[in-house]
Order: sequence, then structure tokens, then C-alpha cells
Amino acid sequence: MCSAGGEYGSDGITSSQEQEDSEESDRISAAQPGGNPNTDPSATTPSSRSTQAQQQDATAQPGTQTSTSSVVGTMPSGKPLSSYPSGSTYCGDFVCSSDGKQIGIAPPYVQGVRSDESLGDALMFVPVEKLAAPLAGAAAKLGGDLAAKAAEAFFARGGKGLLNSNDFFRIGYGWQGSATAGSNVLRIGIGSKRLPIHIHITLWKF
Amino acid sequence: MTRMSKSEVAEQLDSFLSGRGESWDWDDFVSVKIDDPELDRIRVLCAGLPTKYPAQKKGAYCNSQGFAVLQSLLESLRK
Repeated sequence: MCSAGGEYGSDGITSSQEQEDSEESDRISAAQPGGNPNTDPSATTPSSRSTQAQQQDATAQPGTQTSTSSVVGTMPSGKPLSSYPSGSTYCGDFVCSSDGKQIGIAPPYVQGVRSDESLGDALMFVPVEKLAAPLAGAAAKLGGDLAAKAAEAFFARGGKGLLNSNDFFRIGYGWQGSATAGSNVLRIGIGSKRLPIHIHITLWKF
Repeated sequence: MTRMSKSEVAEQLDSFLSGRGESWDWDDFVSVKIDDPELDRIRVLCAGLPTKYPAQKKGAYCNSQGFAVLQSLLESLRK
């Protein structure tokens, strides 16, 4: 679990755009009197870690992996960090900014930092937008698969569809016409030739 | 579930292949289960032809292999 932060850093999930964002937030922080000391420009370069982070490394529990993670982003100043689950944050925990626009994983040296404490520049953050597209795609695919299976279960032809296999009321896929001059349809069928009522309503022809 | 005789199923297949049937006859045939298991097996086979032998011409129920299966089913029903 402690290697999670390092993996994110080495995978290069964050982009140059994020680095630009973090540099911009550093500049804003530096310009504000009494700004967050952890976002001091001198402590937020990609190749160095903040003093606080180094102190936390020194106090890490024995046996805890404390390999250096790539620092690829900083929290915008003035935005406290949140963690999930609530409470203290440890390495590998998912964390997010209070505005919910950035998420990240706490690196190895984070050991029991409370959610109201600043973790400064020592986290790797990914803007939510970067994850939204693939997540939405996966959700859409899952939704599409479920919809296809539901359609198969309810509307399949050949007596397989739950709503498309009886003599009285059928809704689902069917065939209108002869063997060589017909078309697939989505239709409602009511009754049959053997019953007093026999109606078909074509909903879609394809 | 509906009750159909062997000759009625044969007539259904024949009218579908020759184009003599009404526009919804085939749909009614493949959509409703037949009480005779052997005839119902034929119905299920017929219903699955577009999936197993996808049509290559617009307006066709299945491809030529599928029509060959239909023809052989018709012949077996008439024996």
C-alpha cells in the first residue's frame, strides 16, 4: 500500500499541464502574505520535497517504506486537504482537495496527518477531469452492456424474450414480411389469428 | 403456447419461403411456443436463422445457407 504513491508518480499520470497549474498556484501562494509555507516556491520544485515532508520521513514508523516519490503537483494554496475515509491520512490513502477538483494518493512519508493539516506539496494530484473521461467511458460501456442484456432478456425474438413470447401481448423484435422481402422490426403484437383480436403495431423498422 | 400440427408448421414454412403468407404470419409463428416439443424445436431453429446465417441482401431473412436449412426443415416435415 505504501508503494501506491510512488507508482502513481513513476507512471507519469500527471501531465505538464498539471505542473503548469501547480507552478501557477505556487506563484499565487508566494504572492500572498502569510500564505501556506508548504507552497513556498523554493520547496515545491519537482526535484525537491518540502521540509515538512522530510521531517515526516524522519518520524515514519520502522518498517514503513519511505522511498521518495516524484513530486509532480501541489495543492492550490488556501484549499485544505480532505481524505477518505475521514480522519488521519496515511500513505496510500486517497485524498482530495476540498473543492473536489483534484484527487491524489498520499505518498509513503504521510503517516497519520489529520485532514485539517496541510500536506503541502508532497502529494501527487490528478485533476478530476483527467479521470472523468475514462470513468465515464467505463460507466457508459457498463450501462450499454446492461442495456443490451436487458433488451435481450425482455425483447429477444424466437420466444426467448419475456415480453415477446406469448399469444396475447408481445413487444420486442420481430419480422414483417416474407423470406426475401421483409424487414426486422420492433413491434407490439396483440393476439393472434386464433384469437378474436389480432393487431400488430410497428414501432421501428430497420 | 399454441397448438400446431406438423402440416400447419410445414405450411407456415412453405408460405414464408414462397412469399404467399401475410406480413405478420412468420412473426406470429416464431414468437409463440408450440406445445409439441419437436415442432417447437423447429420453430426455435427458424427464429435463430438470422443470427446464425445473417442476411447478405436487404430484405432477406437470412443468407442462402439459412434458406437451405429452411428448405430441408420443410422437406423433413413433409416426409
